[in-house]
Amino acid sequence: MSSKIKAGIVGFGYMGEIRLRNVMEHPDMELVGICDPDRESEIIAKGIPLYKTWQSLVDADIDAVIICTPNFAIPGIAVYAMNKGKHVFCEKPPGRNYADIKAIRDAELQNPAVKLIFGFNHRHHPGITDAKAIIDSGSLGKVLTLRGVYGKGGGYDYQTSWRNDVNISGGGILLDQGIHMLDLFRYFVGDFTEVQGMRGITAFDIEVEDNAVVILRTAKGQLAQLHSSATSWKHIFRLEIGCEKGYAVISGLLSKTGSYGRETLVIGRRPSQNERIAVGNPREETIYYDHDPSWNIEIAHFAECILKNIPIEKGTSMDALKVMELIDRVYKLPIVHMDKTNNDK
Amino acid sequence: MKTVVSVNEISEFEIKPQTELNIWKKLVAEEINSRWVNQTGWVTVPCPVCNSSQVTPAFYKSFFSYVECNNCKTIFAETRPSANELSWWYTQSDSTRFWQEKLLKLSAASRNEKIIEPRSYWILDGLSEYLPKIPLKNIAYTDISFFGKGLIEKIAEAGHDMTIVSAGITDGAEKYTSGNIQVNTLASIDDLSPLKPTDVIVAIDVLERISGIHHFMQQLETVVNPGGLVFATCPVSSGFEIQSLWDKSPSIIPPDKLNLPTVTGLINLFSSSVKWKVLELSTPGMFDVEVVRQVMLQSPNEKWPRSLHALLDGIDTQGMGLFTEYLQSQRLSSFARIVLQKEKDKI
Repeated sequence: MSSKIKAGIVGFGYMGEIRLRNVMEHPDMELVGICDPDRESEIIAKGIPLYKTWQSLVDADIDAVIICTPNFAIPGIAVYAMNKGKHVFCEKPPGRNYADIKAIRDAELQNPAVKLIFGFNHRHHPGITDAKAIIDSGSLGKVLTLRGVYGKGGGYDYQTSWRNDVNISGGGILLDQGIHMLDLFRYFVGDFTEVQGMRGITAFDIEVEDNAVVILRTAKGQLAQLHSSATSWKHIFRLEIGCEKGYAVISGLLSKTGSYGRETLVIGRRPSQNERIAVGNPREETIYYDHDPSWNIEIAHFAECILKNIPIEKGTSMDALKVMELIDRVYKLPIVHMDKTNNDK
Repeated sequence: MKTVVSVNEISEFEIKPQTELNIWKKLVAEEINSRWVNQTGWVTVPCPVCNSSQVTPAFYKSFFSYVECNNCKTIFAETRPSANELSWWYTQSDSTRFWQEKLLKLSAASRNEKIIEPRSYWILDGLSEYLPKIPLKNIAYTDISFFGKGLIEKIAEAGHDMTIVSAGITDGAEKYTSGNIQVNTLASIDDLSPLKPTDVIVAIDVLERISGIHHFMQQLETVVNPGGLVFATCPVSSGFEIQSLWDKSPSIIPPDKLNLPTVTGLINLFSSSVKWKVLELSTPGMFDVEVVRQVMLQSPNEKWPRSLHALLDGIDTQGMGLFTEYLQSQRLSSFARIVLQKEKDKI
């Protein structure tokens, strides 16, 4: 390998553009080309070498491939690339279902020299990294509960999105967006042994869920609940972490449009070390953030692991496998259409 | 860079009992009058933040002429006692002794709960966030704060195996019970050369008293190890209280408040050096709204801007909390806290 990591990008939609920027900004990476049959004119307009097929890009003289395609295409490209000895960066979700990620992980195990990482970028948001550091320091005590709400407004053309075509995406809002929150749950408390869920189609004429509720419990008894929604109308991200000596609340997410609101971390502490019962209005500190480094950190972590030949720490295939296990268990339960036939509320 | 909002149910009188505060102010006035009325040996300093000498007169307060830097808008006492005189004041004056022996002790419980404990969380959380892979026992920690004993002891409780140096010029005579605290008192707050290299410097209420913040930062470059942290606090003139009350601000009491930088001035100063990264610059001051309202109530005949009356005349407790939160979120309170990190590739 030359001193720089030669990378190719497959898929040039929203995420592909972000990854292009990340690669161009990284001092140890260089872009070899992009493949996206639906956006060839945009790629050419940027003066970037165009590859007509993803196979030709993976087979080219590259060290790593960044997969930013719709879900159905991920396992085929990832497995092919790893079998060719190429490092792989996959956007989430890691395929349509558990079988997809299992196939990817098996290919990784058969190719131990390659680095495989999944884009769970929320772990690198500043509110999350600060909350994690504070909780890991023990100053808030052990984590007792997690409560997450992640929602968006689906929009009037939501039903036409590939994300809601089960053959392409594999699932609905839980797989598309709720997966981030489940990944964060695992980031804070580890694995869950019990999972219950409900999913429904409430507002859109689609075949996948537009709302899902998941409750979970770890072996230690820590409880978690998630509401993942495409009918929030106002975009919302909120993760509440209840601890023995206080709490952390991350709300809002730094994003390109700012539609999730300003990212904040609230740290509250029990008023007295000796107070056993919660008192209503403890002192809080709210931290406001103005810069989202998450996308760049992920790519930098990927590059560092390749260059130093060290294991991936965040966004591993095991993280992806475990979170897909949770979703798979919810997806085994039936999906229910909301009854809109009567006029009652 | 982070901004922190910290709204707490606290009134200024809880940490500054009114009767004792008035006695202290009287002592300050008497002592200035008896010792410095002729301003013998006073020195003239350039802007303590940007070093500019281009200034505009701002106001006069207790024999001190404050000017505004034309460049960074810092308000500062351009002519002031020499460093030696100030060191004497800060360690031996009657007013300092009264502050240390009476006022701090009277308000100790409230200060401990509402000021020192939150401040200890700020620092300890900061160590976890910014030095995540370094155990406390491996961190060299130095406190050069004014009246830093309470915070030092709190930190020592949590980091009982951390080496802590108490170097603040006001704390030389303090007795510590914790075995991991060493006393190495600075002779002058303007000279950090006696300090050993350290991973953490805590400088509470220091920046407003030193001869130059830019010079202070240059000294810290030598003292702070690569990757190390600086936790500091400072009053800021860009805040609501000082901008509203200006010379009538009760918070500006020389010689304790000689330098009043602006938030922008500080950001520019810290950002201008490749040696430092600004991790946090917040204004979590909680008293701006209360202080402005009180001063307006106490001086009803003063011609206050109509906007201040509109904002504060009918304000209730909840409104004061919301207004305070707004000021903090926009870095518009008059008390700043800062976390800096020295370039970190070697730690």
